[in-house]
Amino acid sequence: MTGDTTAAQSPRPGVGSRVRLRDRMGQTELVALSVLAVTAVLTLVAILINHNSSATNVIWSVFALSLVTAVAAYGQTIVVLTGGLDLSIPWVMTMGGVFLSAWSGSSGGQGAAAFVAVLLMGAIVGLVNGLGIVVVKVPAVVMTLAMNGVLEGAVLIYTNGAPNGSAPQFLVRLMNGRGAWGIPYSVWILLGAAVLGAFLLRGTAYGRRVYAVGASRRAAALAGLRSNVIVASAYVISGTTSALAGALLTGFSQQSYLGMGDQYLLPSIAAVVIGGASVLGGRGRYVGTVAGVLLLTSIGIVMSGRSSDATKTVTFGASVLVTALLFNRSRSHQ
Amino acid sequence: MRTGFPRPRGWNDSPSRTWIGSLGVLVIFLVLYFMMTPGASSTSTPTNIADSSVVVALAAVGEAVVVLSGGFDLSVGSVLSLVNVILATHFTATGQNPVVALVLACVIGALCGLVNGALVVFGRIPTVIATLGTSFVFSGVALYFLSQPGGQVSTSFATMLTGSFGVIPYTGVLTLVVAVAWQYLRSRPFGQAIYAIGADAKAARLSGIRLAPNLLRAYAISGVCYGIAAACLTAQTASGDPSVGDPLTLTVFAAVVIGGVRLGGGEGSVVSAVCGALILSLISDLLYAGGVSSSYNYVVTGAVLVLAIAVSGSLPQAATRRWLAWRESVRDAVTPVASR
Amino acid sequence: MTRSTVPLQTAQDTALQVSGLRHAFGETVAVDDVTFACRRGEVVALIGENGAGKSTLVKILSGVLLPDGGSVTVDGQTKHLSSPSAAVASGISTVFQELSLVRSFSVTENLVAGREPTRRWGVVARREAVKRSEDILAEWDATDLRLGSLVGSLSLAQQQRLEIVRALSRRPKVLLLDEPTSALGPTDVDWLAAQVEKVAASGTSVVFISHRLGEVKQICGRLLVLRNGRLVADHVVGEVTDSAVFEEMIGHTLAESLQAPARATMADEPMLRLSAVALRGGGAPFDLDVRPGEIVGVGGLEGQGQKQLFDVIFGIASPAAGRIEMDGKPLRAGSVPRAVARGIGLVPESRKDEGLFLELPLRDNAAIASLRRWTRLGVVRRRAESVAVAEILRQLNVPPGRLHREVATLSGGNQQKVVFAKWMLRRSKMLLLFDPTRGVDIGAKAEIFDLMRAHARNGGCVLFFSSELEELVKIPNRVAVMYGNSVAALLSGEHLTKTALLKAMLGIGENP
Repeated sequence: MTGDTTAAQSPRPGVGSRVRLRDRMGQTELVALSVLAVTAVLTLVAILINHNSSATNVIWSVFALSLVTAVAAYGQTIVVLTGGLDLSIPWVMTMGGVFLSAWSGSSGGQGAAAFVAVLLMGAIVGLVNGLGIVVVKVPAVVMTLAMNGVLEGAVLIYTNGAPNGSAPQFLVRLMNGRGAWGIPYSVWILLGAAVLGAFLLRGTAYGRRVYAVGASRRAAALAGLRSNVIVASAYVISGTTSALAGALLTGFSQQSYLGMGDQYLLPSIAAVVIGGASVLGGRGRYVGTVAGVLLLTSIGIVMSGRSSDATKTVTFGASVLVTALLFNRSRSHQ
Repeated sequence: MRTGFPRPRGWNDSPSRTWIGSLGVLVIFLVLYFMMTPGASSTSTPTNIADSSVVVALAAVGEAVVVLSGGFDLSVGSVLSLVNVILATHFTATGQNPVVALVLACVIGALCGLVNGALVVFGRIPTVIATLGTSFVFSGVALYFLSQPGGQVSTSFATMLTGSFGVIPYTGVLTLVVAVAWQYLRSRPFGQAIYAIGADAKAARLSGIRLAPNLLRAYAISGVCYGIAAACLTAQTASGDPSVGDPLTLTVFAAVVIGGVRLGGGEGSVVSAVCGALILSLISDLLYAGGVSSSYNYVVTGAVLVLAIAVSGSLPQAATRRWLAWRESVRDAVTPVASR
Repeated sequence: MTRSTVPLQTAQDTALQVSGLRHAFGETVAVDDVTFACRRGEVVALIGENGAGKSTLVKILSGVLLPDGGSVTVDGQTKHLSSPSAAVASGISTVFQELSLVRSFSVTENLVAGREPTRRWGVVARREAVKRSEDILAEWDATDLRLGSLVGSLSLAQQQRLEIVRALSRRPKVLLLDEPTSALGPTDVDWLAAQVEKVAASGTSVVFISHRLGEVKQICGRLLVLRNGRLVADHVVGEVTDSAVFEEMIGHTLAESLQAPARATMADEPMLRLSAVALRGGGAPFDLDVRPGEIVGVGGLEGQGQKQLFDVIFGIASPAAGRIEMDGKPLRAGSVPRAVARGIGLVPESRKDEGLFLELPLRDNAAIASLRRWTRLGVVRRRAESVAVAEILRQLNVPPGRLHREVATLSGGNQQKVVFAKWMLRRSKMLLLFDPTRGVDIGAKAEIFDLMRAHARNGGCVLFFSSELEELVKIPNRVAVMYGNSVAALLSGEHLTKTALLKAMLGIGENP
């Protein structure tokens, strides 16, 4: 296709030499980059339009919430990369937040222990999801949807309808405090999370295997990979990050409330899809997901006040569909 | 069972009779219900049972049609919400004819269904993603009509769908009508086509069955069922709520699976999805009668769903096969060679 | 069985006219300007090797695929075959190689699918459908098929016969039979011949696609030979010799780049040993040894068990019986990770679906089976990995600087080399290659053979299946010929000739 016939000894660059940036990036990264560019412009516009400090505060808090979405979307990214979908994010988040605030108590140590416990719970939920999908062969959508319902009931029972307690101090400070240049900690963490998350996916052997399984389960199996383990582990991770997102959200609001995770499912999926991941698996970068989150966030900012939840919901749904139409078309087999 | 009118010999000697299973379980739960619910033998009991299960039952009929064709409709809850708020706001404008309202509900439902169908057939988007996306679009549109719970319905509409002829509830009659209507469609070539497409879309296409018109029809039919279900819902709550349908998605899926429709398509009976809905409703009533908090509903629904899939899934089949093979080998080992 | 006679030719007699049909998949041209015509009542055979373009041609004529160019005319009218139902409506009925039956439907339901009789109110008239099906089965001598039984419970041969009967019952103008005898035994083949004669006598044109020359000569009157997508010959059956036809099928390929097989010293202890292994589908048990330094070829017509043989060795499937040993130690069947861990690597038939991750970069594809080599604490050491991958690619003559490109952008030959690279990086001892040169250009083919020989020289062993006789004669030390799901013959040395191979493949014994 690209003049790839056997070449004679062509002068070859050293392995570590600078290959042109454009060549290194695949289509996904280009999409992510353009999304980021659009986001930056939109954010600038938003800040310029609202040039008083209270509005800037609003903007920063919206970014803090983006961190929550970005964390939840991390698990979703991995699950989608393997070709699945996690619909249990809302109530794993709520479960995380509720139990965290209930168990935190007043001492910092207790708060930290509760935090770890909550993450563990998320992992266990994810494991159940994964086992159901891989061993019992329940379709991912059904399994995670059912789990969502089960958790909703469980949390309702546990709290008797009224969650109590408050978030541990360290999380409250993390999510609401300001750092250098008045920029909140949460924005710095968002950047850090993006880098770390992307590294975990791109730079680890596990990440490689996830991409392989998502790209072609058959080829992965024929290369000797244990696809079942990898798919199940994706859900374990998703459960953990959802619980983490719930904990962060609780830190931000300083308390938990029922249904707090509900409005994060759809952005998590939309962000993943917009960021360029194919919902058929195998393609996508976490950088793209984060870019997707930021794009959704900035659309939200620009439209806030002017439009309602309605427009946001419709926009998110439409963006999922449009992106699916664009990216999934080429892979359809008919 | 891929039901239809009486099957002559030679048509299909071994239909899957999954409806028998769900009917059996339903009878068991009915017996339990009558034993454990105080005042269960009053004349209003059939109406109570019917009313509390009709929304899920009708929505499950629609969902079952989609699942049979090999699809997955995650937007059922949102369509219910959308139709509900349109009906509730429509009435505040003018006092309206309840029949017109019912027709309106069907039309809106059908349109939503067609959107789903078009995305799947022409957009070539996998049904899961397509309906996930439309679920948000429909929910958003519902929010346009009504951003908070509110609205109202005319009394004539409410009574049309919540009353009874003595013992026989209107909703029961409505469900029966829908079931009969589906059976009629099932017995047409369309019915054969849907089962074929669900069982093996590739083979169906090669056999000369046209996928597009049949699938579009199936999604439209499911939309109409959702519309009717939403009309009943609106009559019962007598108000509108843009998120009323959200918790119902899971319940509808559970009803479909319990009723024996196979996820993946091609097997099961739409009508037994109604049995599934009734079973779920009875479970919830039993829990209430037993003094269990209503929050357990979700837990139980989710658990039952997973259980139903596990029981009908490939794991037990493989295990059964292995057990049968082992039994055969034991028999072979034990039988003297000469007599084999 | 008499062949259909050749009637006088008139323009009105032409039932099917195919003109300038063209179709390419990316860079590979599958069907290259094919033109031919069939008269009414004529039975024409379309033969060619695997990959000659037969299946693409069938897909176009049956409406599954839209061609890039050319036209199809039925009874003088140009038809736009946009879907299988459009093809049926145009009078073309197809018996598909992969069977188009719905397994959970009964015989009756499948027979009437898409054309169910209806009565009042549009309801399917089931009794009428049963009666019609009865009549159809009687007309085409297939009354052993029970009407109400589910297709899934029928044997493969019965299913294939049902597929044939359904196509016949449409009374088409043109009947396409795509490898209709792959599951049929000799009596069933006779049955098919009789039905073909019947339907041809009533005016239907029959196109019989196969590579089984014996059956073709029994049933057809005319022979079209396809090679590399082009129609290379058009004969009347009986006016051309078998060997002439073989040559046209096979063509002259790679004569100059094929050297004598590697004369590496072979160890005595086999690396891979199959003892009394029986494949599923009623194959007879067989033994097979592959020694280090040896290249063993596998040959056979479609569906004779070669794929299953490879699947069993690599752990994709379990054999019906028998033992497998690797390096003297038993290898438990049915687990691919275990096979890979013991040093077996598979270059599969369909590299795009099974051997490569098309959207992933070259480096990831090559390294996927050997990640442990460069992983420390879970993190992949990119530098070491890239160096190793680049080195292997250099040995394979894949242009450097491509590490980050998606593998989908490479040519077929280079893609195949990446699959090789995967196992070379893993240092696998035994390479299983299934049709490794299919769809690969000539230069890369030669390189792949060199790779195989180098691997053998280094003490590894190679088992490779090829559908090209030329390759089987020139490259391996020995060839195992598959027939009837078992190894029917092991040819080596002076017994390893094209004729002997073909005979074994056709199941013909020493007496032709």
